[in-house]
Amino acid sequence: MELDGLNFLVFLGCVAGLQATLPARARAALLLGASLVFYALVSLPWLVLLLGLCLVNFAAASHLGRAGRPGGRTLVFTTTILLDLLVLIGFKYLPGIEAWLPATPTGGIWRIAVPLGLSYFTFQMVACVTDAYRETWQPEGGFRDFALFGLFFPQITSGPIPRAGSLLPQLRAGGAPTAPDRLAGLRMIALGFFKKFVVASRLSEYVTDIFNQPPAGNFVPSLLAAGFNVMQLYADFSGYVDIAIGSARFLGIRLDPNFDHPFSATSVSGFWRRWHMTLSFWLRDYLFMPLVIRLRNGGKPGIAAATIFTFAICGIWHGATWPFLLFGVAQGVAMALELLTKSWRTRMIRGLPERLVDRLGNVWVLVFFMLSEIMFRSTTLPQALTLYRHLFHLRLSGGIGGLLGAQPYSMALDGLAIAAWLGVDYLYDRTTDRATPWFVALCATLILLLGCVGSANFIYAAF
Amino acid sequence: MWKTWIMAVVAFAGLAGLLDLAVTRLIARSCPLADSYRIQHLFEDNSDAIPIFGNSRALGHYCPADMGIAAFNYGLDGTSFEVMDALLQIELAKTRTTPLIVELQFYDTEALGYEGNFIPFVSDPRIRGVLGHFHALHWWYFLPGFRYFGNYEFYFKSFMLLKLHIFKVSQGFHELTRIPPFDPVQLQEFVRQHAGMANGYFQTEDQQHRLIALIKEHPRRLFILTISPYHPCHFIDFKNGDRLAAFKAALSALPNVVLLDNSRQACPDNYWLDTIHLRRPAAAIYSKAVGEKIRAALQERGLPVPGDPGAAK
Repeated sequence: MELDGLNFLVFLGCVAGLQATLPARARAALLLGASLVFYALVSLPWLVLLLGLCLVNFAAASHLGRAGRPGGRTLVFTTTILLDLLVLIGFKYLPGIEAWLPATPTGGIWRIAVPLGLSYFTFQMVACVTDAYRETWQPEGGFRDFALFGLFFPQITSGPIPRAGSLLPQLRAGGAPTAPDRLAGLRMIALGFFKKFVVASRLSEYVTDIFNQPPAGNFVPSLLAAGFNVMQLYADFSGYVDIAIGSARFLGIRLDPNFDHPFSATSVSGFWRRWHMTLSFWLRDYLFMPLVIRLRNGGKPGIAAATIFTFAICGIWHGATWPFLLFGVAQGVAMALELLTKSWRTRMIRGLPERLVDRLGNVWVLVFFMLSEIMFRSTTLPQALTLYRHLFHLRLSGGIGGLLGAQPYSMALDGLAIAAWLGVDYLYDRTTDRATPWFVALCATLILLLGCVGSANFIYAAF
Repeated sequence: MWKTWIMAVVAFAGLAGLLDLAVTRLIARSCPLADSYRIQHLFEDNSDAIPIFGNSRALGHYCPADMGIAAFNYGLDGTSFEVMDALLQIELAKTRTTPLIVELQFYDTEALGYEGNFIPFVSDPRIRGVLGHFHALHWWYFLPGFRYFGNYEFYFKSFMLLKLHIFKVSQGFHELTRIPPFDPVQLQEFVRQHAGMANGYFQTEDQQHRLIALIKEHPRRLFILTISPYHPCHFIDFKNGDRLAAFKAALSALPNVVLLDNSRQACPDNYWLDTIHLRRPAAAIYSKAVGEKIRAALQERGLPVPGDPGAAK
């Protein structure tokens, strides 16, 4: 079941309805049951796998969390983390060897599919076990609560990546949504659906066309595609997150935010504190910080190296391709450069108005992210290089259709969708509980009228 | 709060209903540039105009006004044999006995084309059948107010393109009001892109049998089967030529078939829009030539030429 389908809304409505009728003590069981059903509808074998991993991690975290049992802690910790990572790596990167495997009994090719949400699930499990090992968190409750934490249906597909310390106590209580919770949840869900269907799916068509075949002799379509690519990715991913957080909020559970106006950041490092925040913070706490501690004698270059390595891993996590790796490395290098040149830049900009410095920083972030996202979007290195070549070959030719890389009518609709996005975003921030029905009706009308069913799946569901 | 919810839901449902009504009445069934209009026309038309069926090649190559006979173009972009078969079923269920033109293909796209075209007609079992075949029969197509979700732009586009005089339509045939100049570089690019593809005749035997059965089931209708020109790059290392020849022979042997294979007709470069579509000026010349051949074939059989004075229905 995908979060952007009507069947998900029906499912959510049923869960909320049952939640409202059940006594408080039965609500956590209801949420677990709903999460199991949700995942079983995707795949029963994968559900069994995830439950098995939950059990192993729960046992490890419980062992590590018990005070006064120093024996074998490191062994339990290392073994569990290795198991989690092996399963993740196995599923994510083994599909690359499908062609080398012997034929199936029916003579076909083996297809290794990645269990839905495995990455996010693994991140949660690794965080729990590590926190227990570091003694910064202690497991509370039983396996039921831990399994619910691992499989909670609104966020299992693509995050946000929750921390046990904040989510587990809420889940154990089973959620007790107030009327404002329900209304806030509905607003977020409506906004998420709007972003997905009106903005992301629409821009996806143009971006896909141009990335697959950038028109020669004209750089404007490649430039527009690069810009739309960023907007599409943001609308798609933040739209998904809005639906996930909104659905949880509708059930009285508050998930951590995943975006905080990332395009107003004035540095690349600032951008990553606002973009996919739960992943960034996870990388910081469980990869970057341990590396920095190991490289503590290296000073700034050591921190820079840790940053590049962390983001290289982040890139390769998206997929074992050169474009993803280079995307990650580019982020790391940009942040490393920002770190290493900080004092020099501070001297250079001394005396300049702060607003101007912020604006310049913001432009740097936007341009850098737009260019690096070309790598993220491209399936192969030659595809990315072709687009860069067209982008920097500053030529103009052809009529208005050639200049835009699409029919003016389609481009006008893309512009209309972006304008509607700005309007809906503006209204979202100002919609009170009383006005929520009208906001939801507005989003529904815009989705009906401007909605596009082009690309069905969320981009990040693939990771 | 409940009052506000009810008001908002009623307002949304009312607006959705109005939009549905407006699109259905003003565009889907009334705007000649909308493909759905032509499907509607197919359901309703019982004149003596020769219906023309096929994909974008039929749509772009047969201009009834240039053919010099009464005809109506039902060609649909990106459609495959399955879609054409459904449209033929609709046509052949009629009582009229006018001849019909069917554009044959070397290979089938196995595509539905634009599914939005069919939404207003999902109550028809043949349309439901073809949508079902392509797994494109969605439940919301049966829900007035919501059935056009994701397709409004498509309908508005047709409406706007016609209102802004970017396109003009005559008897189902669409054309740009300003014909773009021939672009030899673009044509070369299309030829280059085509170089990696397999050439040949790839229609399946099932499709062949179904067409032949359909023709045999309707002996009172004259089937004018045409193959319009393909760019010479389509004949390099042409596969299954023997199968094509056998199929053409089987069709020619049927008493109610006229086969006009113009696939290898030599055309100068400036006739080509891409490797499978002719430019408008070339389509005019081609339509005229085909129209004359059809006229001759009908006269040879003693049949009235639709559109001529005194031609009976």
